[in-house]
Amino acid sequence: MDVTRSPLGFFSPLPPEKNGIADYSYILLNEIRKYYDISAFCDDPAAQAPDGVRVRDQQQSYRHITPDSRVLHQIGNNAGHVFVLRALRQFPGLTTIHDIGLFYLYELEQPGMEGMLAEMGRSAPLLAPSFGRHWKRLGLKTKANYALFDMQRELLARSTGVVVHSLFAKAKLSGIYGEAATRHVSVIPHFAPPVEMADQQQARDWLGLPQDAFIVTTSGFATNAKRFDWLMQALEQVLAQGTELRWIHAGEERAEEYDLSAELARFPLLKQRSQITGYVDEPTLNAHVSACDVLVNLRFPSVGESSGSLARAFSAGRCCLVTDTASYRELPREAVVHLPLMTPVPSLVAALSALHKDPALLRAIGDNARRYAETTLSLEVVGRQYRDAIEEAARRPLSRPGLHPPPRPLAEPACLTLDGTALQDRARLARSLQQQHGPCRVLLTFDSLAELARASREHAPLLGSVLPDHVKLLDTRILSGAARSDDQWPAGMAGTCGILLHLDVAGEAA
Amino acid sequence: MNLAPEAPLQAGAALQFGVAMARWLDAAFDALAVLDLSFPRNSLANALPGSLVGIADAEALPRAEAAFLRRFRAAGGWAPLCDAATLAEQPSAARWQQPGARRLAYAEAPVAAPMLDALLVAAPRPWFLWRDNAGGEAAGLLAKHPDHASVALQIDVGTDAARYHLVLPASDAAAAAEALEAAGRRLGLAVALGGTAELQLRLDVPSAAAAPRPPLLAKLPAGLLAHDGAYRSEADGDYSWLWSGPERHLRIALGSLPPFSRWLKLAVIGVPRPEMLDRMAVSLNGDQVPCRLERWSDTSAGVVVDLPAELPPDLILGLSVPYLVKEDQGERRLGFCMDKIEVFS
Repeated sequence: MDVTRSPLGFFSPLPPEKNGIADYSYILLNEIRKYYDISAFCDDPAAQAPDGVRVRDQQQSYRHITPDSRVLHQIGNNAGHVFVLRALRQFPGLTTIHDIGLFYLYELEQPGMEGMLAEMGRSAPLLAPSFGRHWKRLGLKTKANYALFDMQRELLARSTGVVVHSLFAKAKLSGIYGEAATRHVSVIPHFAPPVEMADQQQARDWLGLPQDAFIVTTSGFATNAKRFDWLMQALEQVLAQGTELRWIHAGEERAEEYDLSAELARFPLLKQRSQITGYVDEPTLNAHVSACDVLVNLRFPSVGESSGSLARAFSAGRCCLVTDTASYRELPREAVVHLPLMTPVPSLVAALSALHKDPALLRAIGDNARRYAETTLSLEVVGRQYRDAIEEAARRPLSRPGLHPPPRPLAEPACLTLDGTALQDRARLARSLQQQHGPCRVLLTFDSLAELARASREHAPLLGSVLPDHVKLLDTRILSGAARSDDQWPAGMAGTCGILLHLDVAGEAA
Repeated sequence: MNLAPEAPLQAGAALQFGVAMARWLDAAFDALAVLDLSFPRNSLANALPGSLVGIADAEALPRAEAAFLRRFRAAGGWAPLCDAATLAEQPSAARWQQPGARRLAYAEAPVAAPMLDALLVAAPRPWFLWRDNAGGEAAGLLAKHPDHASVALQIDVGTDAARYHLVLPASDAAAAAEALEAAGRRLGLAVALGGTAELQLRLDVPSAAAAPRPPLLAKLPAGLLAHDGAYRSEADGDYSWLWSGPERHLRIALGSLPPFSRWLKLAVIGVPRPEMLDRMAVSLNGDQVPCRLERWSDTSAGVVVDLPAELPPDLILGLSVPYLVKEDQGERRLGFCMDKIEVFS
């Protein structure tokens, strides 16, 4: 394919922002700049980009984006990506989705909860009414919302192509939104970062670790999903069997989520042979990964995430133990040891004991991991896949709303007229509003004020029971039916008795 | 005298027309109050401090551009950009609001119908001045208001020319043309009066390229700046200052700078921590540009920025600090405090 450095608008946070996707973007930019003339649009004017990549204010990206520009968005589930989501609405292009779900991102981005409630309804229509009602009317929101409701419909619809890092992520999208809506989703694995990993001996010298110890390492924030409970049980059992080893957790504790130090106190043998480093910088993390014999990276439940530490361990040729779930299932069987979810602790004990006894097996798995990093996960391969995905997406152009004036608003918003006496059918108004977005009016008609009063008594609270949760009530007028100058009847409805509702119906966010 | 159609402009001339027109109007009419609807260019407002500014028709702009421009507030942050909804919200001290002011609305693009209607019902009704490239705006207004007349104006800078239409009540037209002619002569410029169906005036202005230039071309105090920060300028008498925050990035709409502006200096009179000055980042129209510091103390400095040779007429200066610090007494999250921007040749 002949691509002669077309302009590419790249929307993503970049270093020095402390955000894994910022680091990912920097490395990716450094690779794909050979294919494109890149403007990196950031929130931070002091953002750092590789040589030859211009950093520009994302708010003024309209000066540079054209209908034909290639555009690549990097979306993650945190505050640093709110501007990317908003830019995607203005300038559709290829979108990489790094995290699955994105409930938190939308929660940060949406000005009120009505838009969220509308998306929840689309994602899981049977669950959304209950969870939505609890959230809006009772102020109850649990962690379940983040797992049950998927917010990626809009991204799929507004992107000319979508990149995810695993078949698991693609299958999940396809399962929720269907084949047609996900036909433009492609899988590009998370690259192994091009870092020079020291050999094991050098790394142990640098860290002051003994050369002859069998070292098991974990890394990153200590969270529930990383299953330190399983690991610590297994390590204690291995030690009790007389196998000597050390465990190093090269990462920060999050005691509010999982109190690693307190839990470790329950395992006396392990406690004497373990070290929790706290936060470590990148060179120190790399050294710990290089220094270990086995890197353990467990996840349950998994949302399909990938792991930077795992990719580093592959580059260093280290043997890794992972749970046989979600995207980790896609790692080559010969390059990692997969642990079955049903028997995690006995499997860990068996695997660690076997690897401890068989250094040749340990090396063979590590060598396979390094080959995997140098081929499938190499930056050059991933860069080419990105180039192909960008060009493919450019052949499916979508209109870019940010480049056009908005449609002139109607002088008066649309008005739906419904028989107020038929309100016992609670789903009726919701059905009528399905095609409405934004400002709208609803006139509930009654034969008389007495009829209106009776309906209010029988269906109290009248509006609370008939309005869907994703609809915001802006204004209510009771129209008496008598010819009064201050009544605001919709066109053609003069003299009608009823309730005129001014609503804001959440739907398409942009 | 027949006025020539506008031709493509030489570098610098585009910026000179606004300055020349502002001076001409200011010399011609006492108590002139201008509503400049050319934001973010501020073609007249930059030369006529105290003018109101607005966008001729934000709904006609591409929505990403309109969304960006709507972030700004004028007069140090005290005045919303003028449109039909905010005309009444402009600061009461603005010259536009003063009784007896000669109001003039200026635009370089078609004005949104609600804004035009709001201006036409105002008492006293303002005069309208359109750059020629605003299409048939003047003709449309004259068709709707037969009691109005138009005075065609042209400014020549060397071989470049810009045309304008001044639309005003017919009863004012002759006196206005006379005032403009006299003002041109008072300014020492060649001015020609002509026309049959409509009055025509042409002003010859020497090119700024040939004229000697003072080192300091413009001084913009904080209290007059249009910016997108959340905090408004503060003042003690005529002296004003502005804190950035609660976003790390502050954008200032400089608009049309004087022709042949070469560099600017933003006076930072305070930062919460000295290192914030060293890590300030600057952009022009969104592109990162280098800057250098002229240190005055640990927490104050002139931030010097070189300007491009081809100055865009809608210049936006962006400044950012690496982090924000909550003020000791209060809830504001502060970046840097500046009191003025000086523009040099």
